[in-house]
Amino acid sequence: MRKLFSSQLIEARHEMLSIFESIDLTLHDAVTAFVTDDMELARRAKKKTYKIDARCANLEAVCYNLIATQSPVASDFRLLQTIIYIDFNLQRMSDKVRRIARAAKRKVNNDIEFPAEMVALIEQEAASVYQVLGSTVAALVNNDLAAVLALSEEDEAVHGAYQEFFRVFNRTETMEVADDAQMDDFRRTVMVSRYLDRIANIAMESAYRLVFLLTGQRWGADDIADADEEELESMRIPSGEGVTLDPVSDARYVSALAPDEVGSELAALIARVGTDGE
Amino acid sequence: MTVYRNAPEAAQSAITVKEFNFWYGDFHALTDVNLNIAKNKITAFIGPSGCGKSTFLRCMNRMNDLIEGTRNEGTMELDGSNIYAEGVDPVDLRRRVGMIFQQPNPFPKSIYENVAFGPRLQGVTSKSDLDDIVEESLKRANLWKEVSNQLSKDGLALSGGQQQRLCIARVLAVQPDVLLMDEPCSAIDPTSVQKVEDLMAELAPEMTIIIVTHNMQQAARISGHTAFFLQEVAGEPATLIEYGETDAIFTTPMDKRTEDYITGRFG
Amino acid sequence: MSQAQDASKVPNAAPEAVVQAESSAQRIKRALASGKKERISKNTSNKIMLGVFRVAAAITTLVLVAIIAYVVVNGLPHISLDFIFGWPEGVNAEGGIWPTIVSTVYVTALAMLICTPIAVLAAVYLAEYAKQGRLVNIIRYAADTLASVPSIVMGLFGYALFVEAMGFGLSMISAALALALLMLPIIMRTTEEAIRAVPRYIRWGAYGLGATKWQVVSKIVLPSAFGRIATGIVLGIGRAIGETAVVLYTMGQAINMPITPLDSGRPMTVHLYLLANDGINMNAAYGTALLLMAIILAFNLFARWLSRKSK
Repeated sequence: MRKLFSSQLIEARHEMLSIFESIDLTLHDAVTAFVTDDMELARRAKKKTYKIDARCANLEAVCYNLIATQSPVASDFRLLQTIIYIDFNLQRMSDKVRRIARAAKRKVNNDIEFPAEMVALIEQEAASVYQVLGSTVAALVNNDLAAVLALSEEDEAVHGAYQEFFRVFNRTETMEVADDAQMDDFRRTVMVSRYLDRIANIAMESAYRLVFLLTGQRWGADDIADADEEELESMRIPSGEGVTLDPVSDARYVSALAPDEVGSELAALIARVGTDGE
Repeated sequence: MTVYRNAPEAAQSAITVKEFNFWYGDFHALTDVNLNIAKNKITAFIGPSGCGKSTFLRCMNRMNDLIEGTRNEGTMELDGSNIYAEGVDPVDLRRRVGMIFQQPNPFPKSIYENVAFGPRLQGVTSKSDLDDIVEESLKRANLWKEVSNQLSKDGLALSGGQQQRLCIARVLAVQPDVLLMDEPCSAIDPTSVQKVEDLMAELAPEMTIIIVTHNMQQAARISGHTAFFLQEVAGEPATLIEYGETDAIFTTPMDKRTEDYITGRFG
Repeated sequence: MSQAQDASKVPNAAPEAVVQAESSAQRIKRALASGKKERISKNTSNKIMLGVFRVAAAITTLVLVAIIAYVVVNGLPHISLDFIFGWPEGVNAEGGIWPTIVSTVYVTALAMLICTPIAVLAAVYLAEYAKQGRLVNIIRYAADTLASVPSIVMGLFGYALFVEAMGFGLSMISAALALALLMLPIIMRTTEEAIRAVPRYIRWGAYGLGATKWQVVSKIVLPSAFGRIATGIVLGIGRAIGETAVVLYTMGQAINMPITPLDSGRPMTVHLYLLANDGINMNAAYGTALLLMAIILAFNLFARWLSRKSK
């Protein structure tokens, strides 16, 4: 029963995962553009973020429309609430990625030189962020509460790299800066580290909403961070078709992500998708 | 086993049911129902067709006694005393526990006579008393404004929604403590449904209301507690699956069968 | 790898299902289009049957009209106030038929008074109080059979029981009792049907207000069924008026103006029978027949008016 509604829910869910994948890939491009001073890549990345924003707005409208027309209850309603919340956070992430792309352009335009040490730190931080994003996606695809709990540690790693970057930055001798305008530009490019940190944190917040989806409890980030896996698993309540899916079909929508970033379970699923064909 | 989500305590309940079983002849229709109906609140019974919720509702004012071959075990207490005990007068019980049916069923008499029927049964004869009761009951049922100048009109000449409100006025005229409503809105148009729902919300603080409904949104809108009944296997008795606060049942149901039913995945 | 481009679009069904649906719809279309032609076309057979029905209705109406016309044509000239209110004179029964009219009305009224309470109460018991089962079915069957007892047999039975054994002699009361036996099943069955026609939900509404069974029956069921019950009574009366054999054997044929129930008399039906049998005074016979039919027609119209009024 309710085949149409079920398929609409599943489509919304897939679209959310697909947007997530898009953001991850665009982030890769933006960071690479920044690190390698690739103007063209930065420009393309910036354009992609606008497309992502459009998709997010559309997904939000679809979800509200489903709420108005289908009178969802129980797990369907929790799923729609979760998708809308994550969609909102995807828009925030997209905004941060756009800023990174803009920073890359600014860096090229103003010919700003970064010490190699700081570039390396940016790259390290980015690598940690990719891990966080991959784990978030894996948690969402597999409805995996254990993975959600592990996120706080991975986010800590990102935060640590961000703090390290700014420590190094503050200790470094002042660059040759001509005037205030150049100083501002330089500051803005340095903010890339902060943007990366924010992206990881927003992804973690999105993943935490999985707890609400699967248990019906609205727990704050602090409570989740302190919880243990058994406790959360015992609070799980039944979910309907929209929520408990065949993870393989979900994996299809995130299959462009790099295997080493998504964790072994999801990587295996993606490999299965590849061998099973479209 | 029934899952309870903040179900009312016996102390705050109008009706308490313990280990209730019901048979139609040889057919075991309901098994081991335990629940407490909160006093002066609205409780909804939901479940697929044939799951025993109407049967259970009718047990509460012993209307099932009118059907041949029915029997039950277990206790059902109204304000502390078992209504199925020896010596309990079902006629008096039905005055205290009124019932509204799915199909509006006004008597083939005038509007006035319809509402006055119950009080007349109780022995009220004075015209002025009856006039007062009729007016009061029609006002409480939000029907007075529409019919006050045509009380001698035949009850069957009203529209479906008005007929149902007339039936409600008729029941209100005997001042029941509990009002049982068996899908009262299924046979009337949506505007009238809205009026009946508003009426229930107004009546609720003064009397206990139990409504059987197929309309999930209606149950979620108006009830404080919801009970989900289900007959899982044809030929097996129906059971109470989950019972508790409406908000909890509709946002975070604990039993998978409840989840599947209220999201419309079966039934 | 496919991405959902526009999530607001409704997803299409899987391709295989679409192909199957198409071909089955096509198959149905083909089957309908190539339906076999019948020997006679649908329209022609429709028209033929319509003609057949019209002819049957016409025959029925014509027969009734013919009977009424026959009686009216032959009897009307002889109807006069003298005829209605005068007494029969002489061996050929010249004059009027007043005592027969009185006898007919008297015996029918008496029969109705005896029969109706018993029949209605019995019907209430059968429909409302009795446990539905074999016994009740046997009672119903017996009542139906009673309705089809030949009137001559009923007449003889009435003679044996009321006239002889109970000692009432040939009288109004004997005839009324015998007629009551005849009317009983009709009134009982129609009353029972009328009671059962009251919907269950109306009764439950009354029970739901705290009514006892008798209150439900007396205040809701019977008033609601009244129209149909009255119709049944009137139909029974119509049957009783037209009875010949029963009254012949229980009331006799002496021309008499009945005062007490033990008096005998001659009802119109017997009078008509005797006149026609002798064959001498056919005018009076036709006049009697016309009056009799007029009374029965009036009763039937009254029954229809009653049933329409109660709706």
